[in-house]
Amino acid sequence: MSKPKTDLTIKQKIELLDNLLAWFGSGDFEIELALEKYQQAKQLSVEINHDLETKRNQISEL
Amino acid sequence: MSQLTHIWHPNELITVLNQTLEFAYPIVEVEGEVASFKVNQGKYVFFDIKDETSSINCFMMLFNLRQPIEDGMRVVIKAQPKITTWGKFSLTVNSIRPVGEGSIAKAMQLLHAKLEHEGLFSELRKRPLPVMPQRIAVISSKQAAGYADFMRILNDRWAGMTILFKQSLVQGDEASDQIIKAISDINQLAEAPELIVIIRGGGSKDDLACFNDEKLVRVIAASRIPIITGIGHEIDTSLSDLAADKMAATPTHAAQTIVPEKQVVIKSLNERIVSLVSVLNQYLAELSRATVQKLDYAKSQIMNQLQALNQSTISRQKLLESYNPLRILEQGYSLLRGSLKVGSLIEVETSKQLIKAEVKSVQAKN
Repeated sequence: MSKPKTDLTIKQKIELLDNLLAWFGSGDFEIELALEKYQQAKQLSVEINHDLETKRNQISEL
Repeated sequence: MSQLTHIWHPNELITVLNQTLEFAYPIVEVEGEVASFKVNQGKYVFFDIKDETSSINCFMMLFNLRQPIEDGMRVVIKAQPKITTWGKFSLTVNSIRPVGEGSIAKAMQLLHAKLEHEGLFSELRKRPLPVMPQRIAVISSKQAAGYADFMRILNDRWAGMTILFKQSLVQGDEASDQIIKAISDINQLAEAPELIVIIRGGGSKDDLACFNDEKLVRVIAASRIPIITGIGHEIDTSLSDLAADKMAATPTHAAQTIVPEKQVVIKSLNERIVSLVSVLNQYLAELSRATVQKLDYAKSQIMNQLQALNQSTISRQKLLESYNPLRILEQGYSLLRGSLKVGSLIEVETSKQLIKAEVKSVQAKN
């Protein structure tokens, strides 16, 4: 079972988005599936933007 | 008259004097020039430390020798003074470090040659740094200016990381051992970071000398976790820098190397999403074009089929019409009905008339 998007790190979300964008590069796709994936990509992009703007780095001392 | 009340044996006197020395001068630091340096049996180091007028014998264990030393180098030693069983005054050295730019440079040159020969600085050993690391460890001193710069740049550029900070001295005699322990501890963490960062700001050659410590350099080279160093200014390159997987010119440069600039990433993502829209539009346009082409083709195929069918029907009609008996009558032929016996009445049909006639004779044709 894949992680819910809220648990994913920024890097993982970027990798997911890269995979979605690569799918479009194949050129041969069904339009309904393409629209669905486009929506997913757009949503991921929004989440990544939000995470980068709002999250902070956590510092802990060893 | 002598005030002496006790007659000493040599061993006894030496013991008491050593106890006195241990009490009064448990550890001394001595600066001087190295002379008569030699290593015996691969584990005992002997040399003299001297100045313009005096010279003291020194002894140390080879494993305490953290940097190459040779005659003529100026050094500072930490040692315990003692008198040997044979009555010679000597220093038992705990640590030795070159001082002054010349000696430090010489020591570094010697160690550089040795470690380079062993392959510790080989590019083939360098591991790539993780892209957008999620979890990193930082070894530095909070009091160091380089640390503040590093953290500020890191926090400006990226977000969502876990940073494990390990406080350590970054100059002085104890610095290299503290950094070694920090690296060792981090390598043993159950949840290891993806990267170790060692940073400190600029300083003199003396300040940065700890990063040329042989043991530290070897530990950096042996770390199972990739290490990036950001030590000093651009012109400073230590042996630790050479042994690391990546050397950054400064702590700021280290932060810039580790993580991308988030605004650049955001811009790139947005551009890729926008380009996706044109990809989809283009695809739809092509799909529409292809569909229209298919429809046109289908239509022309149907039309051709209909025409062919039509032609075929017309031909059949003509053929059928050609078999119509009325057509034959129109060509001048007639149709007889009735019996062909002499005297019987027959009916003759032409294209325009019905004639009743009587059979007068019947003859077969040859």
